[in-house]
This record gives sequence, C-alpha cells and structure tokens, in this order.
Amino acid sequence: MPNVQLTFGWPALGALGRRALAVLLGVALLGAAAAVREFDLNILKRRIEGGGATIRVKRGETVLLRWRTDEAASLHVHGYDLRAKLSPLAPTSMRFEARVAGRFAITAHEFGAVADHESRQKEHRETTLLHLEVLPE
Amino acid sequence: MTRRAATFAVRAQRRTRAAVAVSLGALVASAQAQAHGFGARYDLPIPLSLYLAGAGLTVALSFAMLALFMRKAPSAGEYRSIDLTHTVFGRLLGAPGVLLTCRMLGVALFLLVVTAGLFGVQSPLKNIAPVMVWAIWWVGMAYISALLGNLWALVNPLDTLFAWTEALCARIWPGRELTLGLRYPDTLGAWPASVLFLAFVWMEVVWEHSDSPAYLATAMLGYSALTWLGMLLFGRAQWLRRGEVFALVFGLLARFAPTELRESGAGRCALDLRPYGVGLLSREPVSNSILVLVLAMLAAVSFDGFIETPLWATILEYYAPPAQDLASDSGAARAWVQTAGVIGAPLLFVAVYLVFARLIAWGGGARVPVTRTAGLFVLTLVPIAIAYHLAHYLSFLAMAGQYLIPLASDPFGFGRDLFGTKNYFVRIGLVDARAVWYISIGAIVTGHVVAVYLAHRTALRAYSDRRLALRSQWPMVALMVCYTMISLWIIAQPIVTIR
Repeated sequence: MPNVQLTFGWPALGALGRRALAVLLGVALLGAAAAVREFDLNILKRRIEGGGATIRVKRGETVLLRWRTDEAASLHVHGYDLRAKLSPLAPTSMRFEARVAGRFAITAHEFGAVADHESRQKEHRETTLLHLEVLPE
Repeated sequence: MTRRAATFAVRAQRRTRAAVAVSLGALVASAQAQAHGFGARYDLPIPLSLYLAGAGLTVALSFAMLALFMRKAPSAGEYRSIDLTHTVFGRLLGAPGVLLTCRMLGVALFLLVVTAGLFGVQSPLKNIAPVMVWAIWWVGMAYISALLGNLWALVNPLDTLFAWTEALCARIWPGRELTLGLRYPDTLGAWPASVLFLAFVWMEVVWEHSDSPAYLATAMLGYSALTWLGMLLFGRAQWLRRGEVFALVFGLLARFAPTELRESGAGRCALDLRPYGVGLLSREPVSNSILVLVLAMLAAVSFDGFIETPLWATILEYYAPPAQDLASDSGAARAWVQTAGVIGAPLLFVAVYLVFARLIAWGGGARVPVTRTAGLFVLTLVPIAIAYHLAHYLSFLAMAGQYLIPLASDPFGFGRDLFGTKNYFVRIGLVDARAVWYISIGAIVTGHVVAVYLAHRTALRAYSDRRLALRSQWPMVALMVCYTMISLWIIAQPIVTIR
C-alpha cells in the first residue's frame, strides 16, 4: 500500500513525515482561511465615518476592505499601490494579502465629478482618509 | 518567417509586461511624503514596549557610566590609531590612478545629474536627479561619512572641477594662480556655510520643487557658481573650510568615522585607522559659527523627523488650517509655518544648548568660561544625531536606493534601457520591519553611550581635576538624555503625511 502512494508522487518521507506534512497543510489552509481581516469603511463628507484613524493587521493576513461612499472618489492604498474608483451607487471591495510590514496611507485623490478626470492628474490633491498598519507577526 | 513572427510576438509580450512593471514601480512612491525632498516612507512606529525599553536603557546606562567614571576615570590622553598608509589598502587608495578615477567618477555623476535634471523627463521618479540628490548623495553620503570616512573630501566635484581649471591655468600662464587672493575676513568664520546650511534645509523640507528635476539641477548650478566664486575670491582651500557647506557638514560627520586623512608633510597624505568617535574629541573649542552649524545640523536632523509626527500635524493645522474646499490652496500658509520651523528649530537648539553650557561651566566651578565650554562640548552631541540619522533613514535608503537600478538604465527617462535593468521592480520592505526597530533602538542607545563617554573625556581634559570634571558632566548628561529621548520619541510616532 505505501508503494502505491509513492507512485502517486508523494515525497519519500515515511509515514510520519507524510502525516506531519498533511497536518501542516491543513493548519496552513485553516490559518489562511481564518486570517481574512474585514473592515467596513464608510466615507461620509470626505472623511471616514467614525474617524477611522488607523487599521492594524498582521503580516500574512488577507485584508478585505469594503468601501461605501456618499460621493464618487478615486482611492489609493500607498505602498501596495492599489487603486479603485468608488461610486455612491454600489459598494466596492478591495482584497489583498498584507505581505509587507509598514504603515501605508490610504488616500482619496479626487472627489466627486473630477474623480475620473484623468487630465488633471498632475495637479491633483490627496486627502488622507486613514492609515493601514501591517505589523510584523 | 514564422520564427521571426514568433520572436516579435514574444517581444511584444515582454514589452507589455515591462510596461506594467514600470508603471507599478513608478507609482510605488507616487509623490507622497514631501518631508525628505523626495520619496515616501512606510516605516512603522516603534512599539511602546521597545520605546520604553530604549528610554529606560538610556537613563540607566547614563547613570551607570557616571558611577563608573566616579570610580575610574577614562584616560584623557591621546587615542591609539593605526597607520594604514603602508598597508595594501592604504597604498591602493593612495595610488594616483585610483584617486583620479574617484574624482572623475564624482565629476561624471555630477554632470549626469545636472544634465538629466535639465533635459530629462520632468517626473520625480523617472529622472535620476531627485533620487541621486536626496537619497544617494544627501542621505547616503552622510552614512558613508559617519561610518567609513570623509569620502566627500575626495570626490567633491565642485572642488575637482575648480582644481582642474586651476591646473590648466597654471599650465597656460605659468606662475599665475586662479584666485584673486583676497584675504578672507576672519570675523566671517564659517558663517557662510551656516547660512547656506539653513537654506539647504529649507529646500529639503519646505521647497515645493524639491523633487522637480529641473529646479534641482538649477539649484545645483547656482550653488556651484557660488562655490566657484568663493574659491575664485578667497582661494580653494579657504572656501572649502569656510563656505562650501557640504565639505563642512560631511567633514563634521566624518569626525565620527574610523578613518582619518591627515597631512604628513610635503603634500603627502597619511591614512589612519582610529576608534569610532574619537575625532570628535576637541582640545580647543570650535568657533561660534561652527557651533551654530553643528547645532543647526542636530536641529535639522530632529526637525526632519518631527515634521512627520501627529504633533507637528496638529501645530500645522492650528496655524495654517487646511482649505475648506479642495480647489483653493493653503499651501502658502503651510510653507510659512514650515519655514518658521526650519529657522526656529536651530534657534531653539542654540538657546537650550547655551543654557546647558552655562550649567556645565557652573558645575565645573567656573574653571572654564562659558564661551569656551560651549565650543568644547558641542561636538560630543554629534553621535546622538548620527545614530538618529541612521535609524531614521535605514528603510528609506533601502527603498529609495533601489530606484537607482531602473534609473541607471534610463537616467533621463527617455525610455532607453542601457543595462537591461529598466524594468526592475522596486521592493518595499526590503529590510524587515522588526529588524529596523531593533537596529534603530540599538543605534540610538549606542550613540548616546558614545556621546556621554566623549563628553566625559573632554571634561577630564578641560578641567584636569576629576572631581570638577564629574560635576560638570551632570548637566551635560541631562542634556544628552533629553536629546536622545527626542530621537526615541520621534521614531515611536506614527508617520503622518500632510496634504
């Protein structure tokens, strides 16, 4: 029976090693599934509702930001360099893995009608909405 | 035929991938923090536990050292140094070809940065000028000066270009010198450099064009013209000691370094290896202008970090409230408050230091007058500033320095790929965040210990009475603890960028 498993491509680790590997894989999967950090963020009058100063996650966790806004805005997570266009009509989700530790500003570049006006990009103004801190585990 | 088509397809594919990588790379630090003239910082604040540990360690070590000095005085005599001139390393550095190559490299980089700044693409991250000036040269050269030795004295392109012109003139018109040979007024001291330093700090912290290539290049040309004018009027050596602010600043930092270039007569130079920091021990007090320059350097280093703290954000918001709508501008008001900070910080440092200098003189039984005391001890504060500088800029240098890899292939931003590194993707977090914390705390506490030790040795030399020397050091240690605490406090603050 062990021979069959070997032919299936299991690494030749022995029964104990194989079991350990399986357990590790399980833990990793479980960990990955558990480590999604969700944040509901609501932009009201160009600020985060409730004054969201800083959100903190651990490195390696998956971050899920759910945005709602009362006004169209163009969003930028610095460092990770993620961008999104927010619309008051529907919530927007941002999902990413927090691979690098650091403190990153999340800014809105333009609000309202100018949010999708590309030509003014050079003289745009940013408003820092909140910071994301990714702490080393 | 089909093969050629295939290569084309692959190439096109590569090109699109390259374009994506570049656009990402260019946006990583998309003109965010304006605090350092260029680039963004993503440092995490030091956690409270580490901050407290660092602060506790600073105070405890200060007391331990004073107690130790009470029992056994450190030797006040000369330090031991090893002559490196005749070792392999010394010979290599002393070889004329090597030095000439270094100088030519310095001049070539200077010319590259200026031409790229003037004629290259006007984007902070697609032009080599901003990263070269603010990250590699200003931050990097300070690192090298403090940790290795006075490299700027060897490669200073302004000095080299003037010296070459001098040599050329001497060949064309033998016996004539390229200087008007005016006598430099001694009362002027190094004040030109002190004033220029403040102007430079203003450019770094306040100037809205600090990351604009053309403005930077123009400023470099302006400064070069000023330097050459000074050299023309008073002679090269004289202006390097009094007015070329970077020769003075990097020279002061290099007094901490373990190598020393010294004249060994007949126009030859000797290279010595010495312990870290001993170059800051001075027998004679520094002049008032140097005193102010040193304190302005200390103030600038701290202020540069302070302007990213929430406290400064609050101050700024109070004095220059942000405009209500995004269309109007509150930039001018902010610039004024920041300018006040750039000028106020060194003034505050000078005032506080003079109060402490009086206390030191009083503690030492007025054996040494205040004016001498102030000039004697000021250099011993430099290690604390160096330690903070290392801590503050470690991850910035690791990140911003990487921009050089793609920029080396395309310094003007014209889309060339000279070395095939154009598409290098800049990685953030190259140095582990936790490592940065420990290195920062370690550096700051070590810098403090070195400073306390140097001050004590200076006191022993100055007072030649152990009891008086010890008494004089209580206020000095108190001042050093305060200054170190400022450094620790700043790196424990979350970075806030004001927009």
